[in-house]
Amino acid sequence: MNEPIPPGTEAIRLTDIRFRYRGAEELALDGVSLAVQQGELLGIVGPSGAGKSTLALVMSGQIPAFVEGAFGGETLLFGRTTRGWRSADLAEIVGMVYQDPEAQLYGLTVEEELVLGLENRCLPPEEIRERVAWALDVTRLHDVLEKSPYALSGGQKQRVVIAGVLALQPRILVLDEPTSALDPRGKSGLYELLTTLARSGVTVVIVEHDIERLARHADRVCWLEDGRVAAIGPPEEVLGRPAESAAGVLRMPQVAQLAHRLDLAAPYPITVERAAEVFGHRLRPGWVEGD
Amino acid sequence: MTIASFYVPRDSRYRRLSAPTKLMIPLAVMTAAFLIGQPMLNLALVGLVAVLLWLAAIPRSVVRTFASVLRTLIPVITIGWTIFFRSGEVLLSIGPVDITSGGLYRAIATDLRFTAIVLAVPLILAAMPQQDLVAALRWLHLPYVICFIIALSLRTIPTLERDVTLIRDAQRSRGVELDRGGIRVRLRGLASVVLPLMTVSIGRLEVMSRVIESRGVTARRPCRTFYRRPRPSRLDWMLMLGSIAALLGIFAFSLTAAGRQLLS
Repeated sequence: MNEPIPPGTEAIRLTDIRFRYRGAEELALDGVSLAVQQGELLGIVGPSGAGKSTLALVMSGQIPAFVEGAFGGETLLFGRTTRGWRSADLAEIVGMVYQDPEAQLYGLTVEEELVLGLENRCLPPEEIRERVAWALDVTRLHDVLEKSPYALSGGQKQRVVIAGVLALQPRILVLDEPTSALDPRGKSGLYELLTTLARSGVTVVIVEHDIERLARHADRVCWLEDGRVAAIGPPEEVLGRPAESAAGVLRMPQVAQLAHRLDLAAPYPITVERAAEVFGHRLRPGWVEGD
Repeated sequence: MTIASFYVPRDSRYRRLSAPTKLMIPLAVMTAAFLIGQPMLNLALVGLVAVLLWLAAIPRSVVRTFASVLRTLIPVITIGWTIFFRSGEVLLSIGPVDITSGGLYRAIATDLRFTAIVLAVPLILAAMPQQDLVAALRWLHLPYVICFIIALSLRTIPTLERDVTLIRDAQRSRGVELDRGGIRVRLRGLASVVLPLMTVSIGRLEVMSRVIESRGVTARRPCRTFYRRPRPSRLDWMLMLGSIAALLGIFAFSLTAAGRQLLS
């Protein structure tokens, strides 16, 4: 078990991160600097090819530990540099969940999936049992413990992957588009889980295209473009203000786009609840055509 | 049916044995079949395998699947031995081919030997889940990396199957002919499945290797623990030691002049 960390501690600090994949001409990340606090839920958004997945790999320590390329700058995870560490060692601090759950499963049963990393960490069976029970509890997977993970639904598979990472009790959880294979119910369940984890002190970084959900759940949002941080801040600041382009409008949640069309003052509402408050006073009897 | 789906849950006294015992008994039978070349003794081994299959409550459908392998194997073995091995009395001459009593004897013995070996395989694959098989290998102190590779190989089968089905369906929907036409058309169709399969698999392997690394599989830690360690009972130990003793006995006997005469 990791020692408790006081709230407000800096979990991740990236300083002038530059990375070019081996054989590539362009920089995937070009001078990214940001900090994430412990217990924070940070969403990373941006167009395809902006460097979101590369940033996730940097935050999880996979770059430079595992992925080959030219790396510059410094990544600190709880004050500890990721340079010179193997990803097996970094797993005690940070857990990574990728987009395709099928590629992350290796166990023949769900239990085996959860146990393998703990066995390799030399934990005694009693502690393994406790951690497995906790991970199953958090991810609500009790009823599939003995099943083959390959026989489960997409949402359940993704939860098994997350349970496998959580069983290792990392302080930071980095997820790269984990909801792409999930139905709306599966997405909601996953975001509830991530919010709960963040409230319990786990630092959560999520790369996501679904800005509507990030607007609702993230503490802060980082907008990435061409390998650079274009904007970072609370969701209403980043997603509720249009940039000086059509693309800048399109990156906003739909309720914010509607507010923009209605010529309301920015920052626009970014959640349905907030939009109902803002638009509420404009809706009066007879306002809707045909009433 | 695939290797991944051979396991059939049933309850029987044999099934309740520990995983190492359920691995050791069929392996002992297979090894014995390799050592023995006498048809009557091989027939006795086939009988023993049949009894074990019954005790392990292996469904007939699974046995039939494995027996279907023998439908191809036995004619090949029989023809090969009777044509190419000449010893003893000539029983039949067909042109330049002489079928001898020695060749026929060898063919029958080898057929029975392979029957025992092939039918013993479901005792491993159908009587215990894959994770028990891997646990048994680990219990037998096989190097961890080898056990992990076996588990990983078993694990990739359903994924590969799914990928192949998906790619075949996708290519069919694009008008690629996979099931009809001449050899050239079929080969072109096969390439249209194999190439995307390789691309998908390589991409997935990259992620998988990162995940495996992050789970500490490659870490050099001699203290790696067992969550569910097989715990053989007294009966298990008796059966395992009995299997090993029987094998050693057969092996030692096969080295003697009497053994060479009786077993081969």
